[in-house]
Amino acid sequence: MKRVDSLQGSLDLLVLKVLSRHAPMHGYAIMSRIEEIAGDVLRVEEGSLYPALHRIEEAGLVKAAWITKDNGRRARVYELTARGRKQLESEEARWKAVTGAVQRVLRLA
Amino acid sequence: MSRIRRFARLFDQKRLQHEIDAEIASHIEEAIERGRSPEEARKAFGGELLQRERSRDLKLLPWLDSLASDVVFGWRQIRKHRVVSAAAILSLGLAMGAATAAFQLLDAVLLRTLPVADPARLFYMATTHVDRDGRQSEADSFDYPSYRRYRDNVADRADLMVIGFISNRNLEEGYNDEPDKPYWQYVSGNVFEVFGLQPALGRLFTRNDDVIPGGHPLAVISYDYWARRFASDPNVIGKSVRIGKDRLEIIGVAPKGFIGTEPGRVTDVFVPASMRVDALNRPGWAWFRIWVRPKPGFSAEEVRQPLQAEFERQLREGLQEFQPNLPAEYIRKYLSEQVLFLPAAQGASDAKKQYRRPLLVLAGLVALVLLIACTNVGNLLAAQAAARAREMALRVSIGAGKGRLIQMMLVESALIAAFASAAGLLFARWCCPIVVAMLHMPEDPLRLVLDAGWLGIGFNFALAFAVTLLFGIAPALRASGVKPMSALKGGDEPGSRGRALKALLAAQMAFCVLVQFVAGLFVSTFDRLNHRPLGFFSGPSVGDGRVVFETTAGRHLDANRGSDSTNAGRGIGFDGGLAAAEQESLDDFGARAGAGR
Repeated sequence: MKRVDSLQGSLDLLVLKVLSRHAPMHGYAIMSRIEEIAGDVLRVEEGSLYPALHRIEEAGLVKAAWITKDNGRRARVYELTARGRKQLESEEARWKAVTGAVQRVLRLA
Repeated sequence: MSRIRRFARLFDQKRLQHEIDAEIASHIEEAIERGRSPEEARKAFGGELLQRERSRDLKLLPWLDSLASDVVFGWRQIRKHRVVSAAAILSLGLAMGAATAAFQLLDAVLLRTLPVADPARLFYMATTHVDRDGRQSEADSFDYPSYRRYRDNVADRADLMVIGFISNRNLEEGYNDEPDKPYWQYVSGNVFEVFGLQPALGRLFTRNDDVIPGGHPLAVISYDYWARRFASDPNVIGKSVRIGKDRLEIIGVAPKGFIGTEPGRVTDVFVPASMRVDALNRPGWAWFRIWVRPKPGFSAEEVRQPLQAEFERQLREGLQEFQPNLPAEYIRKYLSEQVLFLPAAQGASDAKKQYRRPLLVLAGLVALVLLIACTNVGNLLAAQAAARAREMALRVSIGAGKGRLIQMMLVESALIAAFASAAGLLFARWCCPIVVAMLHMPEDPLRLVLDAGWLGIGFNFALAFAVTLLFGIAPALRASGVKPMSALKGGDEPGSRGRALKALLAAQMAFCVLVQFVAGLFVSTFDRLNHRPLGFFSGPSVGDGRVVFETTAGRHLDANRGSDSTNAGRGIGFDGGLAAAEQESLDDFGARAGAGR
C-alpha cells in the first residue's frame, strides 16, 4: 500500500484528529465539528472534503461503512484505523515542529 | 493491495458511481436537515460532476481506465468502418502470416537447438579437402576404420559418436505386414547416453549395444514413428522389423521431441552402427558424420589437437598411394588440410547448408512485403484520421492532451494489429506446410517440425508490436496535430496533408516495384535452372562393362583418394546423401540413353 508521507494540506490532519476523538462520523459531521471548534477562522471547503476523505481511505488510514441513521436514511461513516492513528501522531508532531519554527522566526528574526 | 482493488473496480464502475453519488446525496440531505437551503448546499459543492470525477479518479487507476475506454472506443470504430477495417486486417494478416511462416521455416531448419543435454558442447567433425584442381571444400563424412582410430586416440577426453546419414529403405517385414518406407539412421551405442535422453518406452542403446559387428540386432524407434505406424501400441517392445537380411528387435522408443540430428530429415528408426557389417572395415566407404562431445574439463581445442595429429598421419600415409609427379603445390595444400570442429547445437545436415541462403533471402523478401502491407494500412488509417478531424478538434477543445489522442489512435492500431496477428497465425499454419512441400525433391522429402514453441509466440508478439508502431504512428501524429479552430470551422489545412500522403504512397510504390522485380528474377532463374543442360554425354561411353559418368556438378567427387572409374561410379551412388538434382538427371539420362541407343 502506498504510504502517505505528508498529508496534503492540513485538512487531512484535522480530519484524522477529529476521527481520533470521536466515534465513527460521516462527512458532514466531521466538517461541522471542525468548523465548530475553529470558530470563524477556518471554513472547510465542501468541494475538497470528500476527495480528502476518499484519499485517506484509499491510503488505509481510515475505513468506511454504510449505516442507517435513526431517521431511516443511509450515511457513510468513517473510522480511524490503527495505521491512521500512527500516521496522525507523526503528522501532528511534524505540524508542531513546523509551526514552532515559524513562530520562532517571527519572534526572533 | 489497494492497487488490486483499484484495478478490480475498473470492471464495476457503475457501482462505484452509485456509491459516490449516494454519499454526496446524503451529505446534502444532512445539510438540508440542519437548516441550510438546498440550492446553497448544492452550490457549496461546486459542481457534482467534478466531485464525482475527482473521487472516482482517486478510487481507480486513471491511466488504466483511459486505456479500457480507448479499447472499447477503438472496437466501436472498427465495427463502424467495416470495409476499411476488413481490408486492413486482411492485407496485414497475409503479410504477418508470411512473416510467421518464414520465421517457422528459419527456426525449423537453422535456429532450433536440438533437445539434448548441453548442446553448446556438441560439435561435428569436418576436414578441409583439396581436390586435384586445387579447389577447397569441406568434407564431413568418414569411414569406420578412421572413426575407430580417432575414437581410440581421444578416448580419455571426449566421446566420439557415429551419426549415420539418414537413408530411406524399404521395410520388408514389419508391423501388420504393411509396406512401409521408414527413415533409418545408424548410430553408435553411446549416442543416447551422451545426449542425455530418456526412453519413452523400453530402453535406449548403451555402449554395450555396439560392440560386436552384426551382433546387436536391435532397433529404437522414434516417438513420432511409434505413434504414426504402431498407433502408440505399448506392446511394440520385442516386436521385430526386418531389413535386408537383418531382423531387428525393437527395444525402446525415443523420447518425444527427439527427431534425430539432421534438420530437414526425421529419423524413424535408429540402428546400432555395428550392424552395418560390410562397412566396418572398409576404408574409403564414408557413411556417417562423427560428432564430438568433449568430456568435462577439456576444451574443444584440446580434443581437436590429437585428432589433427592423427589426421595428418593419415594424410601422409595416403600420400604414398598417390600417383607420382603430382605438382608440389598440390601436395603442400593436401598436407595442410585441417580437422575442423563445427558447432552441432542446431544439428548438422545437408539441408541446412543448402537452404541457408535461400531462407535468408526469403526472410528479406517477406520483410519487404510486410513493410508494404504496413504502409498500405498506414495510408488507410491516415485517410480515416483526416476524416475525423472534427472529432479530434472537439476532444482537444474539451481538454484532451496530445498524448491522450495519440494513445487513442495507437490503441485502435493495436487492435487491428491484434486481429491481423490472429489471422496471420491461421494463414501461416495453413501455408507453411505447402511451402515445405514445394521445396522438397520427390525422392527425398524435406521433413520439418514446424513448431517454434515459445520463441514463435514471442516473435509474434514482437511482430505485432512493431507493426502497430510502424503503421499506427503516422495516423496518430496526424490526428493529434489537428488545430481545433480551423477543424471546427470545417476547413482543412492545405498543403501538409497532401505531402505526407504522397510520401507514403511513393514509399509503397517503391517497395512494390522492388518486390516484384526480385520475385521476377527468382522465378526466371528457377525456370532456367530447371531446364539447364547438365553436361552429360549424349550416350554412355561403355568401357569394360563399367559406365563412366562425368557431371559438371559432380566433378569434385572424382578426386577420391586413389580413385579410379569404379570408385567414381560408386561415389555417385544412390545414397540419400546426394543432391537429388543429380539423381533426377541420372534418371533422365537413363531414359534418354535407353531411348537414343
